[in-house]
Amino acid sequence: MERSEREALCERVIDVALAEGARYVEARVVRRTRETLAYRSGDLELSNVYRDVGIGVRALYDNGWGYSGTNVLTGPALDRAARAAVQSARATAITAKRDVRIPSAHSGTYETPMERDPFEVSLAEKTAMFADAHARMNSVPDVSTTRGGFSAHRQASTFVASNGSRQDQRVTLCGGLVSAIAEANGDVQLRSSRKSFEGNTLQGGYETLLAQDLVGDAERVAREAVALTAADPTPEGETTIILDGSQLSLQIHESVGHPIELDRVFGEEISLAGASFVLPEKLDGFEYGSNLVNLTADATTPLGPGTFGFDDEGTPATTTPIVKDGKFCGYLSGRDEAARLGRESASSLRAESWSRLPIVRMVNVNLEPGSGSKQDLIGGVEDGLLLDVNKSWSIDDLRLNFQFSCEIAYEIKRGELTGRIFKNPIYYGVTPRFWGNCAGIAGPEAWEMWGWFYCGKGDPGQIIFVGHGCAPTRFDNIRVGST
Amino acid sequence: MTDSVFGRAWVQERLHHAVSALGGEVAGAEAVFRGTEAHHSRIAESTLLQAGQIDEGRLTLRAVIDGREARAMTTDLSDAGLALCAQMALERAKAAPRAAEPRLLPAPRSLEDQSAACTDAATASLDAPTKARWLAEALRAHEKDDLALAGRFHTGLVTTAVYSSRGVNSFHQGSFSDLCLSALERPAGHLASAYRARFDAAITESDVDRMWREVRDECVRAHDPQRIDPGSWDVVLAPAAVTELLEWLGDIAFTSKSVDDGMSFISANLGERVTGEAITITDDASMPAGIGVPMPFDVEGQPKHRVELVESGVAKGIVHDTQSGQKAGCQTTGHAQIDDEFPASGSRPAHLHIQAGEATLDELIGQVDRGLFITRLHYVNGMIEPRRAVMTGLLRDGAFLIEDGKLGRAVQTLRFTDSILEAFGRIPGAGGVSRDVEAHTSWFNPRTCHVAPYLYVPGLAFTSGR
Repeated sequence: MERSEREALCERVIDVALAEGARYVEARVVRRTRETLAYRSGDLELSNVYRDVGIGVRALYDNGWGYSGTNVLTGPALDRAARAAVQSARATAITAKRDVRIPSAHSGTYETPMERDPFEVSLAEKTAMFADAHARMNSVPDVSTTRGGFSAHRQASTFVASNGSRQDQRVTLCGGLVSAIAEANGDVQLRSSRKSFEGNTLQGGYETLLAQDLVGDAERVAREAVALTAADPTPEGETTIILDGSQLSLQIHESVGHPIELDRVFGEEISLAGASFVLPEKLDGFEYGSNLVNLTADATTPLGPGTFGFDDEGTPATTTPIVKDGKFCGYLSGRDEAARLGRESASSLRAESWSRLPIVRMVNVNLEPGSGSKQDLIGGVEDGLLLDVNKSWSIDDLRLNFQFSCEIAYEIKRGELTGRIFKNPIYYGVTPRFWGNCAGIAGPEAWEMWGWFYCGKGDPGQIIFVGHGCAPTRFDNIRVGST
Repeated sequence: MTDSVFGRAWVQERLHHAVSALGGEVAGAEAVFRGTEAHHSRIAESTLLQAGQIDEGRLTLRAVIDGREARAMTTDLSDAGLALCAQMALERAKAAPRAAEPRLLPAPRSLEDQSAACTDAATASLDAPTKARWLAEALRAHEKDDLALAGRFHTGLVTTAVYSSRGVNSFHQGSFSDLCLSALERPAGHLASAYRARFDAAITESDVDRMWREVRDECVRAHDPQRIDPGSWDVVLAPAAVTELLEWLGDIAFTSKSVDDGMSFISANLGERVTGEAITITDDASMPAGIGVPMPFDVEGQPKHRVELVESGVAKGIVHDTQSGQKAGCQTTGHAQIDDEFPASGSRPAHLHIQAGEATLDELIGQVDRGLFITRLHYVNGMIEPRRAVMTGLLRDGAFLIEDGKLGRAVQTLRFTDSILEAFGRIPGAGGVSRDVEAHTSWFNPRTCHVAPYLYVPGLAFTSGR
């Protein structure tokens, strides 16, 4: 479908919705293509591809928003969708409490820069890479099962609004992982390459996956899985921990990214995801962390899954300071939420697809780098643990009390990794106290982007891809233990 | 009768068209249609915050060639869209390496069309203006009391159909209503709150009326929640809390993948006691208790059988699709899955039940000298140590002290971390399980429905607070 055809679909629903009484209308034709491969012990176990196309309509009647979407792109179905959006808007307008401002128009395009389109790489080439990695893992005694996963995702959106905005974007993501399950010593342990679950899924082409060197990493992964079956449980107590980038990115996600979503702060997500401890009176003064902590919501970071040209209500991508020298100073927001605080949108209104209403979502929420190397950080620790790769996560409905478990803990004594590892590490904390104990952040050379493909929020549920750039970071006086 | 966008004749014609588009090169072809026509409404801060209508139909084609297979899904249901989908499935199946276990399509099984019995036309078409009318008094009453009413009220029609070259031709349509309401002191989430939910094939205005009055009254009772200390607490879990644990158990233990990987507690313990005698877990999509939303077949068009997973505390088995059944030397149990967002292979239970016991809720609470009544859990995660079913999560909305067998003051949140198998092992027989059950769904997936009673669980380990 050509851009002009997509815009014509948008124009049709906008015309119908305006005729139904809407005072402002946005329409998005969204096309999503995804390839997913799953490997088990060298076999291609699952080969899925999907191609999703539909149109979403957001209509404003009085001060109420209504939404509709359909993948039946015939004239009558489009008209039904347009009317449904206005009908829904009339229903929400009855109890709407605040004036909604119609935005100024923005037009433009965005496309992910990449070297090699992941959809153009043959299945044979991808499978050969995973087969090589699996062979290396399976060569390690006591490895019982090996797994691997690949995903490529393309999201192309054409946005037209009744204020004259016209935008066209094409975002491409690619990522993957390998993992080994070892069964020995009466235990079963899992170890993954640098990031678990979907692997590190970044914005870019196939080169982003190759850069992760899954093949080169495979034997280490397998050996550590086996070693974990013989390892002691992580000792209980309070200690210094260093979080490596993969785990730290999820720590940022759960204890910073979600609580700074302004819709959550206003109670609009309370029924499902919960609220936030960061109420508006905490703006510009609350100590979120130690003075080393600087966090930024940035919809422009290279490789970041949360990078784009415009968010899904047409606001151009922005960079918004969240925490400056430890002090809380900004939220993730869309236009309406930001207006309640007299601020500008942080370009964070995003939707999973055409079938979902845009809501406040993370872009790339990054921890700015400090100085020195990861080795320098380790060198400063007398007695502690280096924790790597997430296994489980949970945080309360105000985003305060959290608990994470990781795949592995490496012992640090007198500034060095001793070579001893512990299994099933868990650490606990309460968000501002935890970030207040931040005692060191490695520098730009250790800083990298971590992509999370499956961030869930909203009701009906929405899954979206977000990014967190960070470098390994030290936290003191942290409660750790094991199950 | 409903005014469905995805009517039977149209859906079946699209499925036939898609299978035909694969042509004669394939040894087997299967087309699955999953349609949702949903009216979503979301309530927050005592307003109708969001409302929308989504018509979404997904068609997934599976091509099998020489024992190899690939799936392609499309929402472009035009002739051109289906042709492209067929081309993608075909190309990928041809390119796939030969699998160690040849891929098979199942033969057809006898199935009755239960759509009429499963569809409440009024619920299927309940739109935003009607919901706004039904909720108007609730919104006003909460606002008047300076309480925030929040929740979701999603209704609609789900269509599932399967057609294959082996002769499978299954069709089902059913309505659903997913209503959850919370009443909260302001600022919402920071003070007292209460919660109720129900998931059913039909709903009426009086159901809504009853629920909002219950949450408002309970929120008033929950005023000024007290801080309590972590440690071992005897708890009574309400069905909404139990079904969340049950869903996690399903994912970590009863899927074919969890068993294949050796990560399930079932793997090494078939026929062994894994939890308390009071616990019998089945998967039964027929919804025998007469509540919830039934589903007669899976995405291979195979009848969903009742499967005993844990019987009186003893591990009995897992659910299967055709492939995993073949590997295990048994028939499919009708539990094939397709998940476009979180692709996974193998079988998965979607209609779990814990068998009801003999106690009333008052009798359960009456057994507790000092403990907690837990309405709902928040952010449960069961991936910590799946082989022991170690899970963590938090209290949320309407958690109360129980003192001397009676409900007392509301309490603030705490985090539990415990082996759920070991915790359920401490339930004192059928007297620790209620006779009343409730049906709940997961995070808006109207094809998932779990049913559970109230449970009295002594000594649940709470590990931290705020």
